[in-house]
Amino acid sequence: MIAALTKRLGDALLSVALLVTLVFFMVYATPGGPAYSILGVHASPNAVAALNRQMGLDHPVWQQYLTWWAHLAHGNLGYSYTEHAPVASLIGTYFHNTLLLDAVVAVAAIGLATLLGLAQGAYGRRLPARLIGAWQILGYSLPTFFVGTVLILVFAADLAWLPPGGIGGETATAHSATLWHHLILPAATLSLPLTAGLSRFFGQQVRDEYRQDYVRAAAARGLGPIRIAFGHVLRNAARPLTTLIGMMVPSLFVGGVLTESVFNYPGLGWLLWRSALEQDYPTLTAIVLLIGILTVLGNLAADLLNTLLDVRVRYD
Amino acid sequence: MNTRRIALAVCGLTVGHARKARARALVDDLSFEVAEGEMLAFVGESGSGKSLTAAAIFGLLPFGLRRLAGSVHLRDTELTALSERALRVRRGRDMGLVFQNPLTALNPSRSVQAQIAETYQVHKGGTRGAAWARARSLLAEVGLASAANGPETYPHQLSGGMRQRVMIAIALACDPILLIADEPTTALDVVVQAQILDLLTRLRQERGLAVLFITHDLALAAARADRVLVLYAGRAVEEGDAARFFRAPCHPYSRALRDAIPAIHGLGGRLTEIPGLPPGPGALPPGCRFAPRCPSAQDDCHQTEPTMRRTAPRCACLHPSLETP
Repeated sequence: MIAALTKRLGDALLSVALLVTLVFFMVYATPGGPAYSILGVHASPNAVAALNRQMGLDHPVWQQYLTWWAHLAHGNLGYSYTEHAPVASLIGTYFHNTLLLDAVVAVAAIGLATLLGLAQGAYGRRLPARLIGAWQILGYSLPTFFVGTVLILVFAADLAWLPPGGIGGETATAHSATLWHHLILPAATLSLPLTAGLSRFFGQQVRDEYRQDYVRAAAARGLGPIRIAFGHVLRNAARPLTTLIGMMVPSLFVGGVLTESVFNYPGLGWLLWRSALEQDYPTLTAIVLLIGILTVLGNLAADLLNTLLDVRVRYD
Repeated sequence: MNTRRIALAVCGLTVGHARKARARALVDDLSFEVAEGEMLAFVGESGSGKSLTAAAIFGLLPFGLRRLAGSVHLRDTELTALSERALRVRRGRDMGLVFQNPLTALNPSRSVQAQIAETYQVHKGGTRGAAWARARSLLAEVGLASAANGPETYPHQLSGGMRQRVMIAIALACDPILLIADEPTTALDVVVQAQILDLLTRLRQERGLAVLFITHDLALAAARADRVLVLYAGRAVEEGDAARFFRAPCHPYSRALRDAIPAIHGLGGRLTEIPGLPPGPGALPPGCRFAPRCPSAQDDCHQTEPTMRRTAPRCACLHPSLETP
């Protein structure tokens, strides 16, 4: 168990190391370079060379690469030229807001997808299952910016029940009273395609499980439909789902870019979008790194969850 | 034997498609009884309606099929008159079902102790501890000492024969009146097969359990059962005492089945096979269903559908072989 765990952790660390390397060389290969984005495209070559020297960009690649590692090891993610603040502290607030939104979305999406998938699988080919199937196609294919805009029009502009965007203040915690109102619309928008996709996959798993002999056997020994669904089918159908939930992490962030910009929600996605527009390299790379690390962690968590769910997987 | 109480009485059971009224019945006007402590073997080839009969008794017919007529009495209860909820209480409590494939009939992610205990607790209530104690004593009774005394055991840790023992333990959890074993040994090798059948024989003697043993293996049926009922295309064609039946089957189909069993001694040459196939779901021949394949069919067999004889030997044939053994 310990040995296997160490091996999985080692794999995860290797993935992160590869990610750090990849991000470094992607930025290195980008034409223009940071000096131009700071000084503007019309800056004189002398000024550019001076700034490059000041930032250590005239060193050989391998030296820059090692420096990048050394800074990362000290938790130094660089300095944002556009925000004039250290990236690490800049990201903190936005990360906090995004975590809050994504936690709400993940809980809602996984919970709803479980119920919908169980219902869809249990009903087989009958009408309720087909209605859920149609809803999934719709929910998965409607673009985020469209859903978000419609929700704003209906619930914020017409009905005026909920705020159209923002977060009601600088940070999430400072305005916790109105925070939930601000969370509802973006969370609904972001969770729609995720719920649709997850529940469709889960529904197929559940339907396959319902064809198994052990479900008939459970019915033949007098167990009711609720007990069969939650006590027997759920656990077996959920095993492949854990992998999918691990892969949900990147889609949360990618979906977050669109959702957060539609609702003007100050999260990582919104920051990513803005720093890309403003060519703020340090912020951009830091966010990409953060998302990558979270994805690796998500998959690690999914693997561990899987070993808990599957009695046949025993690491000895 | 006639003094024993009747555990299961099926009368005129007919199962067919729920929507297609003109399609033929898959189980057609089937009647039989099983007494307490008795083992009745259901013999027939694939598609003859053996397993559907079991499903109909349990009220668990596949989607699209329905019981069109007939009654099912379990001791004094008319099962077909019960609501789904009331029938659910009977399943697993008064009647148990053992499946053909023990590899797939257990939930892979729950321990066998938990699956037995759950069945017991759903029907009998009581504490979790009592249900687990019951599970362990049942496992000991079916001969799984390691699972009875040891730690939680999962299905993947057990062999096919051991899993079938677990299925039997689940079926016995609430002391049922009736046990239906649907080809319980088909997926097992010969040695394990004999062990499982010994277990079933012992249980029905010790507990007075009525056993409906579904099989396509006539030799097994003859060796193990008290009585045999032969099904062909959804209809009973012969019924009778196992010993008499095996010595002198009176229906041509039963005779053909018997002659298709390989003899254990010597090389008896080529086995006799039955020509043709049983009728498909749509097309039923007029007259006797077996007539197109029957070696001794005569003209009237193709016109008149035979009925079951009222006196022994009971068979449904216009020209039965009534030789005395």
